[in-house]
Amino acid sequence: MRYKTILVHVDETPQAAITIALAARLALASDAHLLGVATSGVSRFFYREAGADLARTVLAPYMDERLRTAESLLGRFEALAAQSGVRSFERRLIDDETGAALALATRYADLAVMGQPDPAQPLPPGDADLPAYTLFGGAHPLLVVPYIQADADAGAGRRILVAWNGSAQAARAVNAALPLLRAAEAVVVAVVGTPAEPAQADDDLLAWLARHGVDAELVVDTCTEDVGDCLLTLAADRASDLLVMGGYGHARLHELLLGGATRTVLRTMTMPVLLAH
Amino acid sequence: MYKTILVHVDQSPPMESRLRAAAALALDHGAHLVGTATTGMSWSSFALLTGSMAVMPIDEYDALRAGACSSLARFSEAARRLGVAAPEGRLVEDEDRDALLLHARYADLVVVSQESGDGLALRGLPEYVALHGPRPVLMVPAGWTGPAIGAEAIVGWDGSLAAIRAIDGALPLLCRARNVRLAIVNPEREAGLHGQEPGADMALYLARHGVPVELLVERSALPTGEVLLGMARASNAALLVAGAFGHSRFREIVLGGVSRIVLARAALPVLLAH
Repeated sequence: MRYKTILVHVDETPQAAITIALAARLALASDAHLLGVATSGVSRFFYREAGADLARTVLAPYMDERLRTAESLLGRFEALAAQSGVRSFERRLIDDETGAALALATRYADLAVMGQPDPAQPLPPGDADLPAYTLFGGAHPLLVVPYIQADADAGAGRRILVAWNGSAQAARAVNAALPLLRAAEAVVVAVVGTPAEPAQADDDLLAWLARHGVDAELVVDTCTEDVGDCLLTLAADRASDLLVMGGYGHARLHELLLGGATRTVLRTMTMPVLLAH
Repeated sequence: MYKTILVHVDQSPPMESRLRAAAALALDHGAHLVGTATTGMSWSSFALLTGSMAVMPIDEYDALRAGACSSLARFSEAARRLGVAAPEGRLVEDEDRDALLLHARYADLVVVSQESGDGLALRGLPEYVALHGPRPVLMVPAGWTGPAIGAEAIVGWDGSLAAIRAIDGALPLLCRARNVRLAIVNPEREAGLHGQEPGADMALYLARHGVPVELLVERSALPTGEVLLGMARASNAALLVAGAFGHSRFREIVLGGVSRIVLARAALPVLLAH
C-alpha cells in the first residue's frame, strides 16, 4: 500500500509552512495527491442557526474575515506545494469547526498531517485537542508535527522508532506506517513495559515486518514513569526523527478521553509522531 | 499488501473451501501462509474444569493437543498440494477465537469460514475476530468453489469508519479486481454520507489507488444487507466488502442488522473489518 492521498491542515500558525513542507515531501515520495484543507473554524450549524438578522449584521464581518484569512492561507499552501514539485495538489476551504471538518476529510485520505498545537499561542476553544479529535474521529493515520520542529528539511522518517505493546492500536499504527518504514534507513521497534507488566521480545512482529520488506531492530525496555516520556526519551537517544505509536482514547462530541502515553506524547513530542487507532 | 495470511485450521468440513481460498490468495499475492489450530481451551481453563476430579485427566488435554497437531499436519500437507511452498503451522493452547485474535496482529488478513446455523453452537468466529482484531477478516462460505476472490467485487459503503477500515483492508484485492462496484443503499438514511453526490469522495479515493471503481446507488425498502447480497448475486461478484457492526456483551456479540444478514446469508466471500 502506498499513500495516494495526503491531507495537510493549513492553519495560521508560524509552523504551518514547515508542516506543509513535510506533507509535500511525503506526497512527492509516494506520488500522492496533496490536499490542503483550511477551515473557517466556526461550526456550520452556528452560522445557520443564529438568527438571520444577527448573522447578517453582527456576524457577517467576522465570518468574512475568517474566510478571507483561510483563502489567503490556502494561496500560500498552493505556492509552497508548487514549489516543492508535487505533481497533483488541491486546496479546499471547509466552512465548519476545524475538528469536525478534518475528521470528515481524513476519511478520504490515506494520511493526514497537522501541526501540534502550541500552548503559547492563542487558539480557538477546542483546537488544543485538534490532533486527538482528528485522530479518533477518523479511521486513517495522523502525522503530527511538533511545534518546536524548526527544520523543514529534517528527514521525517530516516530513523523511525515504533512503539509496540501488542495491542490492536499498535498493530494498526505499524501497518499504517509501512510505506514509511520501508523507506527508512533504520527502524527500531521498542517494546516498553512497566515493572508491573514486564515487556517481552516479539519475534513474530519482526518476522511480519521482514515480510513487508522492513528490517527492524528490537529493543526491550522497562519504564518506571510515564510510558509516553520513556518513548520520547528512547526516541531521542536513538536519534529518531519519527515515532510511530498506537493512539488510545476516544473523542465524542465535546468529550475527549486519552490514554496516558497518548496524552503525554501529544503534549510533549519532540519529533513528528504518526498515530493510528 | 498481503504478505502474511492467517487461516484458521480445524477438522470441520468447511476447512477445505477455507484453505483453498487462503492458499489461492497466498499464491496470488506472494504471501506467507500461517495456519492456527487450537486445543479449544487453555490449560488453565482445563485445569479449572477438571480440578474437582480426584485425578486430573491430563491425558485428555494431551489428546486435545494431539488433535490440534494432527489438524496442522493435514493443513500443511493440503496446503503444499495446493501449491503453497512453505506453510507454517501454529498450535495455540486457547480458544479458537482468542488464538486468531492474538495471531492476527502478525498477519495482514485472517481467513475463516462462515458459520452455518444448523445444529452446532455458533461461536461467532468471523464477527469476533473482525470486531476485536486489528486486521480484516475474510469469511468464506462452506461450499465456496467460485472464481478468483475479488475478480468482481461489491463494496458496501455507508460512510462509516468500519466501512473505511474494511475498504482499506480489501485494497490489495480491489486493486486487482476487474470491476469494483461501490454500492450505496438508501444514502439519505446514512449519517456518514454527505454532499450532493454520496460516494463520490470514496470513489475518488479508490480511483487514486488504482481501483476500477463504479458508483452504484440503490434505493430499496428491503433491509440493506439483503440489498447488498442481491447486488452481489446480480453482478456475479466473488467478493463483498463491508464494515462490521456490533457490540460485545461479555462473550456474546450483538450484531447490527446489516452485519447479521450478511454474515448469515452471504453466498460469497465477505471481507469484514471494524
